[in-house]
Amino acid sequence: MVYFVSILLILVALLQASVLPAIPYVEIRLDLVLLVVLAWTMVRGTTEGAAVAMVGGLALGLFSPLPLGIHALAMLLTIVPVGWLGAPFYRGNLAFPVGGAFLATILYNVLLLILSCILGHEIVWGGLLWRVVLPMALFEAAVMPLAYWALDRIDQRVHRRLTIA
Amino acid sequence: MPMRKAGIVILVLIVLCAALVVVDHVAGLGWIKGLLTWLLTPLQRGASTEGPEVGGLWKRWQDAGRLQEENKQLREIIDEMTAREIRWREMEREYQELRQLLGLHERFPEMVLLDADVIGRDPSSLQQVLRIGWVALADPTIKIEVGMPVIAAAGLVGRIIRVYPNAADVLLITDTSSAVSAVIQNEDRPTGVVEGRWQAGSRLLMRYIPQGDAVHEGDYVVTSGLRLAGFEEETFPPGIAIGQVLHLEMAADMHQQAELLPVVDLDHLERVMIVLGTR
Repeated sequence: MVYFVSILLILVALLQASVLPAIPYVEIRLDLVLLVVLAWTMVRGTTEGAAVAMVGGLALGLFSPLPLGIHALAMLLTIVPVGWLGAPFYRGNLAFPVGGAFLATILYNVLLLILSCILGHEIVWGGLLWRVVLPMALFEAAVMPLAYWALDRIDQRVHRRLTIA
Repeated sequence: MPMRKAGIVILVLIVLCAALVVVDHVAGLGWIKGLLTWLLTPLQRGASTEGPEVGGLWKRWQDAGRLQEENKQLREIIDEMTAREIRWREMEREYQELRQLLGLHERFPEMVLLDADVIGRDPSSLQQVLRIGWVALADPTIKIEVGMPVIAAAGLVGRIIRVYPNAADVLLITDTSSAVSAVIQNEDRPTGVVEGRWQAGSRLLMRYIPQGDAVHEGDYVVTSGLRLAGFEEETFPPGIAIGQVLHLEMAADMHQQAELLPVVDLDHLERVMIVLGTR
């Protein structure tokens, strides 16, 4: 199952870097890879979340001018609190995945900015946080119920099939 | 899996990623990224051409929604006509773009230019970076290098910051880490430095314009061709349009500064040209 999500993530990264920016009327960007990684961590826990975060982060790194591994590192550091602190609350209450997605998106982007800053990139904190990170976090939180529901359904179907077999 | 074991796995992955970042930053893993990018470029090129198609479908869906209210019987025919029209518009736009690019060769005969397609953008949205790709180079002596300027039919786009076998990353002039030496096209010809301001909420800011020089709203700003301190490895050829003055103000350092509107629509670029050099 992790392999399936990993392949899915490479395709999602491709979509995110190439197709999404070309769609008109969509000014706020959605980080689809982060969305899938967060939803999978919420559904399957921290260990599987770490595996897909690694693959998703590396896939994003291929399409990004930043050093390879920087997205994966930020994603891994993000899914640890998402998986460990939020694990008891996700199932049965949609507010937690939504709130988790909002906070995790902010954490991920702040980590990415800190890492970029350490590597010598010039960062305009105020502008980026208001213009990019906050709208993206709201967008991710809004779409999270759909992503969580879809991955939860896939997970339930696959694991039920495996149990029957 | 017990929590301790999971913790060890995550810790190992974090250390691995940190090592990867450090190695890529210090020694450069350009060849690995280059190889993978080379493998993925055809896919990315295919996906980026699907982008406008997706946009086209969206527009078509909107059109169909409106037509449904007007006449249900004619909807299918109109849908087909709409699709044809979108296709035709796309072809016309492509034709105009190619004509403009051809005109660029005529406008700057001294420049050696290479056509490239925009195949992607920075997925994190934190930087103003485009990925451009080109088909196999006919002349093996042509070498794409970091620092080379990238232009579009209307004017300056940015400069190359990373090169892969058949693709490159372009830092747009609107990114805060971009700086271009420029001159305002008027009788005083005041010079200054155009800096990117996208992350700060606007687009371009021309700084260090001498206090006494006249600057008017609507004046065009072009590259001066001078090298900037700290950017010695790159020079933009003189005379390439950058932007138009929106408004002017006095800076704290007693110079004038002007907010500019880029002449190139950087959000909807599809084709660009790399300036390989001058003849």
